[in-house]
Amino acid sequence: MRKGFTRKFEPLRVLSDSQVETIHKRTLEVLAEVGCKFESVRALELLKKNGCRIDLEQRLAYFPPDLVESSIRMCPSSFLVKSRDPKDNLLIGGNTLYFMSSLGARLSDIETGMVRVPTMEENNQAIFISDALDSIDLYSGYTPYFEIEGVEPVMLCSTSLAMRIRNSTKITRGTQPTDTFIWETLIAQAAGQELIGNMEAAAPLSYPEDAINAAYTYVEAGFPVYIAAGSVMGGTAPVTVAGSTISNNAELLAAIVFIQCIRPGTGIIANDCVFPMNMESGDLFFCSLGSSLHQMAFNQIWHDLYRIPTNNTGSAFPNSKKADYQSAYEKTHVAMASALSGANMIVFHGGVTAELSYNPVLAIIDDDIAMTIGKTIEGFEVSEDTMAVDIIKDVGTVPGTFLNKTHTREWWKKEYFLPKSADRLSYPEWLNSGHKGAIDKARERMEHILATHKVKPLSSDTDRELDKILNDARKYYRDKGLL
Amino acid sequence: MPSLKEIHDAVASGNYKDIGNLVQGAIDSGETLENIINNALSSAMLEVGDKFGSGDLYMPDMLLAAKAMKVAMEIIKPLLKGSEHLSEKGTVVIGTVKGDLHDIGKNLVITMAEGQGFKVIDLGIDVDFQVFVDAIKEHNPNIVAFSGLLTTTLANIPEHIRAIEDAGLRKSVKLAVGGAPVTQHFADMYGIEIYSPDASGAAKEFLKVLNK
Repeated sequence: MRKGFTRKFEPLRVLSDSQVETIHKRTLEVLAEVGCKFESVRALELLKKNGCRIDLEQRLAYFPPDLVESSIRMCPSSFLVKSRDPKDNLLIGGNTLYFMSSLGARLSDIETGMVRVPTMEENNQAIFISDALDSIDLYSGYTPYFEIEGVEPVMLCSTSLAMRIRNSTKITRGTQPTDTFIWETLIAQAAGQELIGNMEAAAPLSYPEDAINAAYTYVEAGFPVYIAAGSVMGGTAPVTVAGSTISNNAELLAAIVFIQCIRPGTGIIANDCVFPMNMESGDLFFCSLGSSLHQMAFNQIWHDLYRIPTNNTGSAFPNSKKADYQSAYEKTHVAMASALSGANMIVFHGGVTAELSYNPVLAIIDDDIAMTIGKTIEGFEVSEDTMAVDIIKDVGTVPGTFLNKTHTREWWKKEYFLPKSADRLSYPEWLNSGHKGAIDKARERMEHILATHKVKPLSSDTDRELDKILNDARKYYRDKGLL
Repeated sequence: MPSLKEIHDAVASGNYKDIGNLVQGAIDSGETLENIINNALSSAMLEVGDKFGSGDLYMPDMLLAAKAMKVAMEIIKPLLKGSEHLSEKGTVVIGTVKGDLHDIGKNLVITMAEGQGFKVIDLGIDVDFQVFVDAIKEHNPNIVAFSGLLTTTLANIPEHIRAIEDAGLRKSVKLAVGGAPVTQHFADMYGIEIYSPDASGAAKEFLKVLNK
């Protein structure tokens, strides 16, 4: 089974070295002069102890440039995350690219665009299908659905994580709302695997208490942390790519200082989750040119200057309500730009209808797109064998052919990728085989996966332990009046 | 003397830098405050709201118009007395529900509601249900509006409603809810009277419910 992709050439750069340096310096200026709000006295005191100036009343921390730069240097450029099945361990960072499954609130019919709340069985089936797709290496929090029939909203994140661990051995990310990180950490530990923790800002330049408490819990458990700011260009960040790059960098670097103060050397994945606002409605403008350019600049700065692994969320959700031409071009152009500019992780499969819905059939089609993008950054080999000069000499001129050469038989499989769901039939064959398109073929592949795929099960003891943790969580929320 | 049309146009174009001088100039020249409010400022905001609804204007246009409106009202409000009064359509208490820090949608609703003549009490973000209860007691609003962007925080809305019921205040207010994951179904499920899928529609729904 494939484990991600390795970029074989230098990443695409959209900024000059001096532009990178200027953006970094101006980011330090924002952190020193504007600071960042931390809604936690405990966090502020920790930051103060490490050299930040603090305004306790305003909950503000001001960051000296030296502290920010030394904290950046403490972050490892790559690190291992352990699965409950060692075959799915991931080494994150460097020149590797992994794809992360996307998500949606509800299950969508990708031909009509209608959405509904999925059942638990549909939720688990979608995870099981993702487990079978070679190009998916890890899961977001809330994946695949963040509403499940019969699951109370406050129990969603912990229940969803338990189901991902039961139905897949791939690495997954935790979440932060309403103390869910307590239960998610316990669930991962009970299953014998590591989580990617989570700390998400509330832009501009603020961290809510949940995010701070989540970071403490995940870091103290020894997990790496995925940091995100979720700025909206024109809303919670400047509308320009350069301006929003500075504000987003400031938010993320504040988190890095805080996390490295808790435990130096903690692995960080910096997520670029910055979208322009659609000024027609105030909604987020997913899969847009603004996201794409922002991510390219982000990848360059974080890869070249900070040497911290990156994730890009810009291609997670097309605006289209269906699996159609718009859905494919919106996602592909953003994800390809991410991959070429050096992203280590891209959120991609199955999301549709902005972030409102998900569909496993679409995830199967997205598997083909992700494989094509991943194979692109792997480039091609230039060697005596691949240059094939001896064979060119042997074949000579017309009527010579390369088709009957062992070299052809060997290399077309190595260098090409045959999408599994795409229609590549000749027109007469297509007419004779039921006029099938990519969605039909993806549905067939889904049936095949459901009939043949196997996931290493949890032991019955571990399974019972997960149930116990979920029951404890339920009691905890009931006692707090949230259930 | 600046004309009402100049004042109207300054608000409609979001010219918050010149609106103060225009309004002051009109007042100094003897124009009535009610005339300025009703025939220049409010009409400009209505026009901006309609153009936003039809896709001819965008969010920054609307927010800049609101900013100009605010500058104008800061000059006018201290001068209002006796029969010269703001014809407020009603009072709205609004806040982003507990656990949620998003306020773009909420602020847009405030802009539109104020533009249509409502007095709006903004409770801010991450608002505890007790703060809503206290605000109802203090301001006696016609409408209490909950805003939420996160599916996970919508779970807190029933708790907010229960607190208002427990305080014996439910019958005195109409409830409204809005935000990306909110649906008419969600509103119906909890007996919330007002729902709109977008901000410009919200203020119109407020008017509709109060006129019933």
